[in-house]
Amino acid sequence: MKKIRWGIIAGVCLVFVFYLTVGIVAGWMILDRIEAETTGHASLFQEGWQIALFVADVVFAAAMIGSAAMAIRNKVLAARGKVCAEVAK
Amino acid sequence: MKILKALRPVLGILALFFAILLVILFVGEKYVEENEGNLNYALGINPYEQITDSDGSVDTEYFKSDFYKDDGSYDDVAMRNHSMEVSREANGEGMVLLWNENDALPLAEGSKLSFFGVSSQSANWLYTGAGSGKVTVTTSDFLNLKDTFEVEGKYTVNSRLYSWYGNVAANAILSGLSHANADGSNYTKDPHYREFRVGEKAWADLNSAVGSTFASYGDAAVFFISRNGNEDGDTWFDTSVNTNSGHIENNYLDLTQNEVDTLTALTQLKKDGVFKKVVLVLNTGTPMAMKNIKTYDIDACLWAGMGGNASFGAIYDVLSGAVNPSGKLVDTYVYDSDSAPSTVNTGAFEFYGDTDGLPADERSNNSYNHAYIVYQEGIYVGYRYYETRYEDTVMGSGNANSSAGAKCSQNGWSYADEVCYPFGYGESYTSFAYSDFNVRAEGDVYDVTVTVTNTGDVAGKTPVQVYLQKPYTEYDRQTGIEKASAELVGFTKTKLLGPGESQTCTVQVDAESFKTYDSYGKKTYILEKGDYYLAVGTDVHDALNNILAAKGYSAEDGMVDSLGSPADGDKSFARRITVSRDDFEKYSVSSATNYPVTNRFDDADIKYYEGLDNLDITYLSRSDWQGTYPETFYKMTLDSDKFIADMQYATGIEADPEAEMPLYGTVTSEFGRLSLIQLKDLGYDAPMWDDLLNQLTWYDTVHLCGVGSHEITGIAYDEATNPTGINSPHVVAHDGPAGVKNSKPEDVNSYMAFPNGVLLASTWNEELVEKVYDAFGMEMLHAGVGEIYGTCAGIHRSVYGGRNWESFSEDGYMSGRILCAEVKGIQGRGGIVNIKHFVLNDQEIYRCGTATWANEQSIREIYLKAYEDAVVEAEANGVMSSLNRIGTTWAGRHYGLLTEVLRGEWGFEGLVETDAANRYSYAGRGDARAEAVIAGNDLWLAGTDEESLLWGDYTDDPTVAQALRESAHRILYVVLHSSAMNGIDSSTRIVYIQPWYYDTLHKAQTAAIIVTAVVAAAFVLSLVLPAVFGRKGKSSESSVQ
Repeated sequence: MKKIRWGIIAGVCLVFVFYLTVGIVAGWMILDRIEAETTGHASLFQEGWQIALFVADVVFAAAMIGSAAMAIRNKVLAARGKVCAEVAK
Repeated sequence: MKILKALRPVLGILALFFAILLVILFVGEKYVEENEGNLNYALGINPYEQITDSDGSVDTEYFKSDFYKDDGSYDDVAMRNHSMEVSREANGEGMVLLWNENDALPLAEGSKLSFFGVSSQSANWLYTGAGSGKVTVTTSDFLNLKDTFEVEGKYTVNSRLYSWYGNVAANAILSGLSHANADGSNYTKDPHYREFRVGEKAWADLNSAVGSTFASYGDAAVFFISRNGNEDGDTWFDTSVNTNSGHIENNYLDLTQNEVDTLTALTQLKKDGVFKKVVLVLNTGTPMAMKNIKTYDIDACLWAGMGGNASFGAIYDVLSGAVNPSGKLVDTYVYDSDSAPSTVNTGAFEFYGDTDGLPADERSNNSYNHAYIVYQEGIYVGYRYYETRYEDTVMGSGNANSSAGAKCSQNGWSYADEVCYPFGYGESYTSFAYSDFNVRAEGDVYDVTVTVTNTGDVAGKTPVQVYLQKPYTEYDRQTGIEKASAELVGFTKTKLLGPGESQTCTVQVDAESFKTYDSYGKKTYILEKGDYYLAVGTDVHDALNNILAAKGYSAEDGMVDSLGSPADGDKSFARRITVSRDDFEKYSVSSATNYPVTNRFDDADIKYYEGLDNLDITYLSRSDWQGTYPETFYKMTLDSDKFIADMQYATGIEADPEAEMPLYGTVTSEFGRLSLIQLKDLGYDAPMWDDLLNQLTWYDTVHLCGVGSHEITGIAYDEATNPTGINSPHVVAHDGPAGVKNSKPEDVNSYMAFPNGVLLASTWNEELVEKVYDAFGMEMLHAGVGEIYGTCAGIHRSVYGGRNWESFSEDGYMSGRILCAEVKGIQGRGGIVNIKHFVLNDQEIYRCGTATWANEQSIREIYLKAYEDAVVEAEANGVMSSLNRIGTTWAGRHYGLLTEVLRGEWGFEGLVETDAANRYSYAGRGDARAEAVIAGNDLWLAGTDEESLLWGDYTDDPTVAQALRESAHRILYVVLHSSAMNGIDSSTRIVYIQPWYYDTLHKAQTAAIIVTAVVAAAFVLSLVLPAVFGRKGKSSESSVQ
């Protein structure tokens, strides 16, 4: 079976998390600025697209954390395997 | 090679990162282009530069300030001092003393005072209401309330008490807004709806902390109470969802429990001898319900309005007696806010039954297509209702004594039980006597004269109020005309009269005031035969009593005075004028333009509109109060295909067969290429305008009309890109009306909030209001602002209107007089106004798209009156179309309103601009814009560069193209006669300088391209090289073998 590159997946997810977070914050700031014209305040979940961005952000963040964990786990296992192999030698 | 291979994942991720960044930067540029106006507004950028080659010998400062430094630059500090000075004067003259038992006010010099209420703190006082019209003041620009009272050494204020409020009230939610659902989620009906809270502190906490100090500062307890109002936030609670927030009576305009506790404690402390008197100061823009307030033993009450930066100084002036209050109410103060018939149909109403076929309810795009509001009360708004019903109770007519609409009456309906203070009421530190009332006809004007004598001990002013009563005839009953028993038709204010001093005042009443709109009979203004009465009084009720006395009625018939005690009127202050014959012709054409006056709003009257054939409506009528008083709100169902079709955002353009495509980008003048300034001395219809308009390109035209988010876009001349450019300057536009929002004079570095509309109207002093708005105009000049989105002239249809604080009154005549004064003040300094919101935009919930229904008489006599006066008399140069629908048609797309009435009947030569038009809403879409520009809307308060929104689908449509050309004409004509032309002469070139952020963006794009390319190349190499060298290595290994 082909080895899954968890580190790369985590990195790609990190990129998306970064842009999605920036998008959420920037979108909220723009909406808040518009609302401020009538002395209102925008919420982070005011519009459908804000919710969609947030959900995507959460999904990518979870994927990133999971992938990173898998990558670290594999590294640890690999390191242990190496040690075991050396010990076995 | 190993390193390259190891870096491959990192390079791949970086390549992805920068590739996305690159896409964002390029897509972002499109967004920036579309929103350049908004960005410039936010960043304070004017992208147009004026380059003038002349030697400066010609004075090109067409509109001047009164304040300059020696070097010729504006003296901002002196200008601001002037603004503060006139504001303080207007504040003092507008505040209304509601009651003053045993001369509790003015406060004796040397008094030791205790200030109560979170509103006593600078951070919580409402200098203005809320919304786009709000100006956030810099509180360090003026002394706080305590220091204001102590600075002259006349009073000492309880500092521990004041500090306690300062410490605990820092986070008080005095006027906090929140969406209404109890769980904190958005209100599902209208996400813009907001509810108000009052953060008054609990008496128990206050008393335990600083109660021991009261006795030492017991000369007077002064309690400050505030109530806000907000764009998008009516002061009405949706009782189906609101969380009450401690308000007794479930009414924001009544007291909260903490306020009740405070008043209870203060009046008890007075009984106990701790305080000598209790004074209440109301910081509100709309009348509070008096039902509970009046149950407390409060010695004096001052309505202080929302006075902007000068609030505290003026409160000091009035409470100390330096200024004798002469303000009079411009709204009726009642015990129960819901006793007005309009409140039955105030709120959030959605069509009943099947709504299939309506445009989707795009609430996030500000398109509420399922909402409606019905003005079932007709003309009976404010005092027109209370006073007319009162007269009918006295005369025993119209079932006026029935219980319909009664809220506080013991038996049936009683004026004394419902009305606390009538329109025009206000007390003074002195007293006045009236004498020598006379009315003399002079052509089409009646000169009403009366002598006013100050019979008290201190100097004071008072307004002279003149009211008209028209006859309620049999014809009226048959045709559905309504007549109020009293209408304000004129006023003036005395000079400051010393004790014993008299002044004879003359008020001119236009005979045209006698006309009435006949919606269902002659469908025009008519003059009916019958007995008319002109009367003066200290308020509307007093004047009506004088009329009733002239008609032979007395206290025995149930007459009561303005405070509810049995009273006779004085017939010597009323004059009967008999019109001997009906005249249905005289006013059927406009006296301003000779344009025919006829029904223009049949599509907004449920009785007339063909799409509602199966519905009928009973408007409130004095012929039968019991039978016509709305028992509940009007339930409206959609019952025809026509209705559904008319509710669509666009319904199709009727092509003008004579319209031809205009010339674009062509120099046709015999003088060669023209610049806008060259037409300065020419009239609107001068032929040279055609030449100038021929020079406009399509791009110029649609951007001038379609992109106006806090600007009127300039039209530059550039030999290469716009060789026929007309050098029209960019106009900076800002929100109003409380002050010049978001743009301040350089050396002052703070904003000036002027007294709010209601407070100014309460001065009953047009000259003073014009002085205030002249100062406003200078603030605009100094700040470089050419256009203001104000002022606001909406009628206070009910006390719950969120923007009541911005506008003036429940009365159209009063609103018109004050609006005229403001328009003259601003335009005198070269400002462009946007009198708003035109029209029938009198509540905030669902304001974006709600279908508004009213009959023609009430539309014209109540809601259009102020605008008509401002256009006909003050020649207002700008109108803002409102966001609601008139009937089914968006106001900005209503031909009857914007072309037939505004331009045809009134002769308007200015520009009509939308309210903030969401680009995808019924007000912003391309098809709606095409129909709206034909209807007479010229300019869009919106930012867009989308071709389809800028009439891109109509480039070959001569009807739309000609309408756009005419709108461009109107906009340019207004700009030409504004302060935006200051500094421009015939040598001036207007040059567009691309804002700095484009350069930044382009540099970022370049950098992103390079970095992306490098990283991508490295990534590719990391893929390719190891493979190539790997193969080579393998092959050499093989060859060695």
